Amino acid sequence: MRSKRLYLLAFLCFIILVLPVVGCGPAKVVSEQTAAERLPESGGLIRYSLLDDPASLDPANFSEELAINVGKEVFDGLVDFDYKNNRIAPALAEKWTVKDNRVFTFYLHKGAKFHNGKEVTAEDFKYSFDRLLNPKTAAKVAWILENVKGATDRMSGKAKDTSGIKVIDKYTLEITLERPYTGFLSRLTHPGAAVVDRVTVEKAGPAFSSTGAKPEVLIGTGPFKLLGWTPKNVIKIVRNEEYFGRRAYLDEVDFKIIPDETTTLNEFRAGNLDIIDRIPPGQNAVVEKEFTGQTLSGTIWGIEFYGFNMGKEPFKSNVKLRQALNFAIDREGIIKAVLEGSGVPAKGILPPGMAESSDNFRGYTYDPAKATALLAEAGYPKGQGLPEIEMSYNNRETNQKIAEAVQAQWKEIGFRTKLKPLPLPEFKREVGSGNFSIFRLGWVADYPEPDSLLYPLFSSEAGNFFGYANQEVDRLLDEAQRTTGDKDRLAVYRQAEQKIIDDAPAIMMFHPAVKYIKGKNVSGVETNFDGSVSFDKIWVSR
Amino acid sequence: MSKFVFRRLGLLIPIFLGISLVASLLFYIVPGDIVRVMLGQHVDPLTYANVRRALGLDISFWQNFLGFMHSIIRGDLGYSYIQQRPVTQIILEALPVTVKLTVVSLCITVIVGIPAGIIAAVRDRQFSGRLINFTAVAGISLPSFLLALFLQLIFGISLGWLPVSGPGRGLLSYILPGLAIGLPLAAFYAKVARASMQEVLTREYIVFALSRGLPFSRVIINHGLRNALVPVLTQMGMDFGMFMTGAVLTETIFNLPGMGRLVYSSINVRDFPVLRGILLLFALVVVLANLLVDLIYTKLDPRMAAAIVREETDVAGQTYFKDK
Repeated sequence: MRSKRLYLLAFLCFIILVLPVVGCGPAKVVSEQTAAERLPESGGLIRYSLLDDPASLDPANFSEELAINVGKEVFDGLVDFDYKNNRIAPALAEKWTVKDNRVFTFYLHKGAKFHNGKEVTAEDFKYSFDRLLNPKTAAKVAWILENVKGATDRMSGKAKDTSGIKVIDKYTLEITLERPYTGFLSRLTHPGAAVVDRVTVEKAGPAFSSTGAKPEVLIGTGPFKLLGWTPKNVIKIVRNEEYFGRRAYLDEVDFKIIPDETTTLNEFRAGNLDIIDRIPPGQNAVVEKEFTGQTLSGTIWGIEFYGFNMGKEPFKSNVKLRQALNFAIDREGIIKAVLEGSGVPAKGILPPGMAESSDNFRGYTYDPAKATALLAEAGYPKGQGLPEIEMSYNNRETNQKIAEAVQAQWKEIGFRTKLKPLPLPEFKREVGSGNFSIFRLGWVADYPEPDSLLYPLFSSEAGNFFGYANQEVDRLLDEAQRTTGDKDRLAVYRQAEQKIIDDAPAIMMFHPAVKYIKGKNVSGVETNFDGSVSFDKIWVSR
Repeated sequence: MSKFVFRRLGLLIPIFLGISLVASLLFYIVPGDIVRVMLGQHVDPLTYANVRRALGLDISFWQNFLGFMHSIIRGDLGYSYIQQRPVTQIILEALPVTVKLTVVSLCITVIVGIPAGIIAAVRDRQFSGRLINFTAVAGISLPSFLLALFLQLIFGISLGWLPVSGPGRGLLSYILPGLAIGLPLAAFYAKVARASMQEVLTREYIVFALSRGLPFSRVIINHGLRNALVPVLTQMGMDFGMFMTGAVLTETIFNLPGMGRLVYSSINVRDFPVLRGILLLFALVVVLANLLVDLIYTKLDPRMAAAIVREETDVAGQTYFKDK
């Protein structure tokens, strides 16, 4: 009798402990004023989560998303990209002139100051840009300036400075390129092309580039300045009251380091985060329902694809085989099933927004019958005569699921593959050494220009990953780099893109998307082309 | 006794040398291209070469190893090429978090596990004893991370009593992760303590003490517990080393930047200098923890002290030296 009662008690305890969990489920009704009804207010704090610390907040190391997320708020360059209007906007350069698409003269904003109170001059820019090319800096984003005259000599240590960068007067800087290149201004919008203060940088030495660098060392000119950085914990930035442009609304932004997606979502639920952008896999629908009206998503200007090794058989000289494999993939089905609808199926290479697709563009649609026919024409009816081919990819959960789906769809037409998931460093090595058959890669535009996707991936001059070489494509990409009118240039890029797609050196899968969830009192959240948000545009209502 | 301690500490020298050698080899034998990882998507040959040189990845194995030996003598564990700062600094940031988490988890384990095990042994035939035994079995089968998620949902989000994650709120931040690690472990210790106590209870000296008319509780605590604790302590000494390596899952779920996360992220980005430093630290901790356990043994059981003395006076060639 007594034991029965005890069991009952234990059961009741269990119910009491578990009920609140069940109770905190979704189905919260959110009534929200639309953002347009509110006017920006000054003040307040935003807490946002980062997956990890940036390795460094030195602009020379802005080769990773984490660093750019924080760094773009602390540092400024000559120009900025206005995503809404799709144009290059002034930043520290008030205006600029371009001669022959080769000589760029920038007129600096007078009176713009570093966070330590010093005025920004053309000398500072000369130093900062030369620093990116200096081999001792080992800047990871040196590519931004690779077209500047004398850049290669500087990077290889042959020259003591960069001959193409000239100070005209205190507020005028002239940059000469090796050859005409329209995308240069667009490259300068990259946060890595920022101005740094020579005295501070040289005094700090390696401390400028280290994780957890101190506020007195990380001196920029941006709308926010660093308040403190506790590694693996939080990075705090506060409004720069002396900012030369429009001041930010927020008093402070805290970047909390939280590696786990579920923890991030739980912290948001508990009210300890105001904006999050990492939704745990499989939770998209739940989150949409739970936070109705609080989510926003944007397409990233990038492309995820499977590349073929164009230097090796069976892909080297068999365009029909590559096309067959393209027709065999149901992109929309994969996006729906694996990515929960988050992503845009890729018809070509250039994402919507960067270049609207035209109707007469020929891409690949899901057509298993055509795939089977092409495979037979390629000399491998129903896949006979083909060995099992390895597919390499970085072993993240989503990549694994997509690879499995692709493998299954290829199997339907008789093309057999073996999955080869690899940790990131091993994967990078394999891709870098060209020792693969098929590999998966995601590429996000480094700067808002078709060139940033097409050139590094498909020009044989850039030493692309798969050993793809088509002289006509090279010529078109070259021509586009010299073409000035936006429309004309885009047309040439479109031509090159069509040629690449016809050659099918890769399977263009989809353009990735990003989803944000924001607190009810947060406004002004807009995604940029790279998926980031600009914190200087965000405000909170109290 | 002091000779024994010194000899144990002397063991550290060959261990350190061996670990340093193997850890330095890691730089050269582990596949993967860390420079490409650091460069992100955009890799050009000139930048690649410059970064590689700047990171010191182009030096030979012996240069690397001897350089490390040299820095160790100066009490410095080297320089992380990912974080661009001293390894010692990085480890000293993570270590306190893990120490706190270890202390809290161990306290929970000891406070819950040992009394539960003793009660389960003493009341073996009664309902309460069986309930404890049953709960312990259930507890051992419960994965830490699942418990962690439940605790986070209940006490962090629904009730809001304790922080959901993060190290920011002092000791409060460590209660939930401490429970997540400590409770399943307490279940395990309860089983160990129960088995050990049951064995002790059959001993003659217990029966003798009881027949002398001593109160039951005193017999259990003074005569039983002392002897029953030896296996528990052995287990704890081994676990302590494991504890200090951090609990990756729990630290990740509760966002505690401790050693577990440091190891995990350092492996992910192939930050070998940091890994090498951590390996040396772990060796130190394991040796010291085992030494400490041995010393506690001598307090619990004077015969152990005698064994140690005997071990010291052994003739050379006859190795009775057994590391527990």
